Amino acid sequence: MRLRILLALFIALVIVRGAFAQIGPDPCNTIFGSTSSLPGTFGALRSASTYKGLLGYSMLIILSVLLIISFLYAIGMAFKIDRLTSFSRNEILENVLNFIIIIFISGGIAGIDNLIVGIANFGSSAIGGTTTSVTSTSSMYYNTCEFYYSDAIGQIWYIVEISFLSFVYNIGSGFTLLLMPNGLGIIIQPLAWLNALQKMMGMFGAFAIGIAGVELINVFLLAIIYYLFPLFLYLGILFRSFPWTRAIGGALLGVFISFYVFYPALVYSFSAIVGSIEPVLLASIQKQSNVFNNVGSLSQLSASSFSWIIPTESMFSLPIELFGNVIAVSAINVIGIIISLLICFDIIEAFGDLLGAPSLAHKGVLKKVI
Amino acid sequence: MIDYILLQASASCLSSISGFLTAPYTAWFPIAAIIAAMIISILAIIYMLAPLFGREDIRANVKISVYQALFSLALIAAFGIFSTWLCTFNAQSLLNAVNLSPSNVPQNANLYEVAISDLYWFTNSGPLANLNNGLLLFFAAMNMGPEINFKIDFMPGIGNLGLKDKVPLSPGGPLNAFSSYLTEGISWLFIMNDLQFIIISAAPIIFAIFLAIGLIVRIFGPTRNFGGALIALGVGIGFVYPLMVSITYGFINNAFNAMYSDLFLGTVANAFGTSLQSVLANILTGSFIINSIESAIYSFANLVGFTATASLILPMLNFIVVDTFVTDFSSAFGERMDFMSLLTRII
Repeated sequence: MRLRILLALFIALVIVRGAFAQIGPDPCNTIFGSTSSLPGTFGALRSASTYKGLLGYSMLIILSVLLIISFLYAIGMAFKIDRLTSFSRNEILENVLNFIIIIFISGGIAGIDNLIVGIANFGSSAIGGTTTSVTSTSSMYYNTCEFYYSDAIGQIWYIVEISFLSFVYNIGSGFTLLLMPNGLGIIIQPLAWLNALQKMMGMFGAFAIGIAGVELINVFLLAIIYYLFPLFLYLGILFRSFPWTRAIGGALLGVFISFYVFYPALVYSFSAIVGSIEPVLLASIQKQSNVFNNVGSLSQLSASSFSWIIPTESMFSLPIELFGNVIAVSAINVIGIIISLLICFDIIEAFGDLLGAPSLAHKGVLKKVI
Repeated sequence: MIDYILLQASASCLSSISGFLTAPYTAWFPIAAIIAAMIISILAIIYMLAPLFGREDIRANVKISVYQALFSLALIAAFGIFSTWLCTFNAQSLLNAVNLSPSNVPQNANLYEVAISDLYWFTNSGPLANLNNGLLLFFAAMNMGPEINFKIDFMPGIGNLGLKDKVPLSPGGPLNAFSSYLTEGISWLFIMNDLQFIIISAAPIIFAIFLAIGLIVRIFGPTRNFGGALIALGVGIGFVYPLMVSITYGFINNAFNAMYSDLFLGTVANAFGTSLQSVLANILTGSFIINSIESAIYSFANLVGFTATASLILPMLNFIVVDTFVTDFSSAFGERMDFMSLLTRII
């Protein structure tokens, strides 16, 4: 009977070998993947996966406005209304200018975008790193999202490991030797110094939480930009077509160009460069993605802590080296995000000057946000 | 509570003529029209009497004011029609057609009702509420384990001569500090959302009052710029801000619903898999325990990231767009007004 049960279990194991559950829902695939489950915004005006799609709808808006203004011009000419004629003439010229701006800026920016990505790929290949090919806007967003999400998850696992170590140190520091028979004597806690390591773990944990938080926010910020910001392009072109709302249109165009075009290109460049140098930096440190699969290094830390009553320098330097290096690399990612945001706010102000939007042109956008 | 808020929003925005004349939202426009008509009458009398006193200069100035008053009257009529249309326009259908209106929004709702419903759902049923509940569950799970205390006496019968230690079987100790950061963060997010509630609830009244006062005040030369700035502020807070809230929070709520089962609630599916083969594999090898812990951590991280992003970025984006609109529109109509500086000073 026992043999039959063992045989059945063996057969079951053979059959199900390799058929393990998928772990870790990936938001990048859900948001930017080809089978995205997010509803396309604006119905037929879906956010395009390339600049060409956005350009098409923008030209449609300009043509529609030009048709209306041409009609007004014809009425002015027919009924000899000089004011209407001069107004329409000015507006036709402004819309032609809008057309040129969209072509020039989009084309120029697409070129700048490719230039930034090319520089990043060149830089990472020069130091022996690998690069991911970017063929469209959505693939750039997707690759950037994947990089920051995986790094954020890595930080979360370090928090779990830090918690496990703190748990071990907590038990060790509480070890008490009672030498007080009949209520008179001494109490010794030989491993109380582990509290210092525990506090160190807490500090590293706070850094890791901050880094993970910024990276996760960046991931979902990219989703908001990808799906919502094309609205600013269409509204910007529409508003720029009329004299009373021209400044507002310029401001919206500036916001779109800065965040939809430049921001993902900049963070992608940082991610490409950091992603390439990360294996080099971390070559001596085992990347721990699953605390239950990497007990070796943890037991080494725990054993080194418990094998000596008097602490030595290595017991403090080992966790510092292990977690400090990892957090430092991820901190570079966070600095990259902050620098990209600062550059984008500067670009907004530059476009405010270029497109005549006083709300953006007075060097106050970042100050207002803060 | 949401029913009360929606009732208040619709009560201040009635479609009938008597409602238009008496409702707190739209009644300001008839009042402003009466005041403008009175001002035109007074200016007309001054215009006629000025030559009798030999003051042609006063006549010239009054002539400009009369034109401005007539223009203001036209604007009052235009904005009055616009505000009535805003109250009666079926914003829910339009936003639903472009997938920006989740199912929680009442049918045939106007712009203000859509904005309030979206904000309310986000805070009380959607991401923020789920994060709050998830954090409570997380804290409970982290602290529900027992604590083992052991004590070994070297000599039986003699107390306090031996060893003792305690082993907490719940990981809550080291993680409690981290959960306190989250709790504090969530409190601030609730405060930011409540601030938006206050602004949205007051949006129709602000639209009516600021526009009415601005249109009257811009009749006179010295106060023309101030009136233009008030008009821009009224349109910005009363129309642009609810529109932005409807669009942005409608998108976020729809996205949350779409991603809910994939990203936030996939713990069981991810732990055991979706096929018989994978379920058997995970049970036999015991890896479902590890998988479920991993999956729960991933799901919680996704929920925290999504909610934090939506709660921080969306209000900022909405305020920036309103500020841009108010600054540029007020520059075109009158005196340049900086909305964000005004808001930060008030706060």
